[in-house]
Amino acid sequence: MSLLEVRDLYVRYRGHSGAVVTAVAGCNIDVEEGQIVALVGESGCGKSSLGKAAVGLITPAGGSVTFDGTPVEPLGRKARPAPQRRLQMVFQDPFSSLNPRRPIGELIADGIRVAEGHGGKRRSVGECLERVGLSAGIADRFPHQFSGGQRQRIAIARALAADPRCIVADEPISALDASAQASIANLLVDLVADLKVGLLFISHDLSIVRRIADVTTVMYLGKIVERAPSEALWARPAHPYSRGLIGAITEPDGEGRLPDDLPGDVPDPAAPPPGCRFHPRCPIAIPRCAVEEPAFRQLMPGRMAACHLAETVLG
Amino acid sequence: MMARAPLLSIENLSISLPTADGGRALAVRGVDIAIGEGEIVGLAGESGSGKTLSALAALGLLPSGATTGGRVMFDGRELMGEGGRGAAAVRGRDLAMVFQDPMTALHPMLSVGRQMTEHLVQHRRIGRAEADRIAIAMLDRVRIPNPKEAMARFPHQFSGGMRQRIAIASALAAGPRLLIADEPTTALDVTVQAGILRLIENLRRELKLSVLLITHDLGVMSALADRVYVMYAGRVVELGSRAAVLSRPRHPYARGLLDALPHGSPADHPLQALPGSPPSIGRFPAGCAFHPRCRFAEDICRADIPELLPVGEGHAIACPVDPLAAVMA
Repeated sequence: MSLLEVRDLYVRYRGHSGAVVTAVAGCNIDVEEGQIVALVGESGCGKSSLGKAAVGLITPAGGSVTFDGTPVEPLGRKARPAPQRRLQMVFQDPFSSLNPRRPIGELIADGIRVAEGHGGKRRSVGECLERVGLSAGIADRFPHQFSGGQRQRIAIARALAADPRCIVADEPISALDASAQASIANLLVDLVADLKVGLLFISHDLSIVRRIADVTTVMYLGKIVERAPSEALWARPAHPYSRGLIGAITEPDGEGRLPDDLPGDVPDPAAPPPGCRFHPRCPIAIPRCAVEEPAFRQLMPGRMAACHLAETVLG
Repeated sequence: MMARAPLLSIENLSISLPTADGGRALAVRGVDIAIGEGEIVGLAGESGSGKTLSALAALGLLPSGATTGGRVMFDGRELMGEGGRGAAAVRGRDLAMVFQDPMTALHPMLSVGRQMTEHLVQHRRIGRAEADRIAIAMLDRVRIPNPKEAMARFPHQFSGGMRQRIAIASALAAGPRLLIADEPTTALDVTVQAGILRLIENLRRELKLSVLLITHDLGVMSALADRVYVMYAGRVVELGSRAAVLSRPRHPYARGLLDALPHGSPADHPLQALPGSPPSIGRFPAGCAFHPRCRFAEDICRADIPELLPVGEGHAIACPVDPLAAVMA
């Protein structure tokens, strides 16, 4: 059994016009101890909804989330059950996720009380700050006194203070300046290796994911379409959407190569296309793709994809 | 690189802004930028580097309270500076701008057709039918499906990528010669970004459009720009051809920015963080503003503001130490 197990998860919202939008349509994800699993996809694919449901911030419409052997309960008015407090979340915007009126030492002390509550390892505020590369002497300062990158370090220190076993991080570096992105990415890799936590890293940026994640999961319009070891996915994608995403990435190499265009837009999730959801944009779709939804199947050990033509794509 | 006089030249531009405590702070400090006809020039840098302000000065769109020095020339006419009268007409007709968020340029309550043609009627003095025809052709050129029907629809009825296409069509409808694009794809998904980048490249080729591309994304820069300027703390620290600046950067800041990005194979290029963060306006360090973050800094870097000096054909850096000279040679 994995540390974090998402099984056949559904998340639904009621849209503006009353139509029901299925943001997550039956997804499975596993995160093991000491492993970084990336969930990538474009805006509106449902990756954030999946992440929020995984930590109990929204109530799934179906399926289950299990953390460390116990089901994750959606957060209500009551305190979170002790075992679940070792599942922590880091958000995209370190400007809104830290209370501006409290010194950062207090914010981190909240996390330490969580660790005490579940009988976890108790770290001091100073230890937590130093662990994320900040000085222990800054605990009495307020969030606004820090840059975006430093604030994200503080948010990570707060999550660490709770002595987590698993962290779900939703776009934790995309709001940061380029120079800060690398340092936060490297910090997360270090922490996972050091503390043996599991990390579900949600991101739209496949090029950074390739650098840090052990396993990459690609999501399109509510469905997982491919899962593979990160470098293997990058080198030989099995799903045409993964291939399209990789081709669209620009490389800062000075060579002047224009990225490949993947025509069309992501369809309205309230009315997903029949058959394979990607077929209207797929450059290699065959008639079967418009009528029969492809199963998410194993292609070879460690490689899964939901495409009728995955073998052809792999080459 | 540019045989003829540039279409747009920004000369010794300085911009100072009022600060919260009633003082003034220099945000742009002696910047020179030239753009040739049909050329795509990239302006790179992190937040607070002055890249957007420099472009806004050319457009006459600086925030109130800003004061400027230097001048901006467009096709031989002075847009900003002592002889800058009548610049508004030139700006409206020959210069256009596209922003990161297309909704800042598109009026949410006006149909696509209305906002595109109003602009045309004002700047080109043509009839409504003719304006409609031009607008539809431009929507078609930026690959909006069913452009005739799109004219009657409103911005919110389109996706983010389509809105940016409409904003570009709207900016180009009056036939400008220079497009200033400020982070035009930053808010978009990569697959949508790819389409917009290809569109800009095609427009440059077909219309001989000049483009000033402002972005912090060096990947986008690498896809489009012919030449690149890297800005830091209100000054240009490196400029040169795309290949020179992006594959052989000589300034430690430009090099640091590139090393912090995922590129090439993970084994050859591990992610290397650049320490610290860019200084905010009013807090630029003395001497070379990058010196507190630079691992090569020497005494001279703390004392003098370095000048831009050539290090190769059309390639210049503002770094007296030039620590990468040996590595790059």
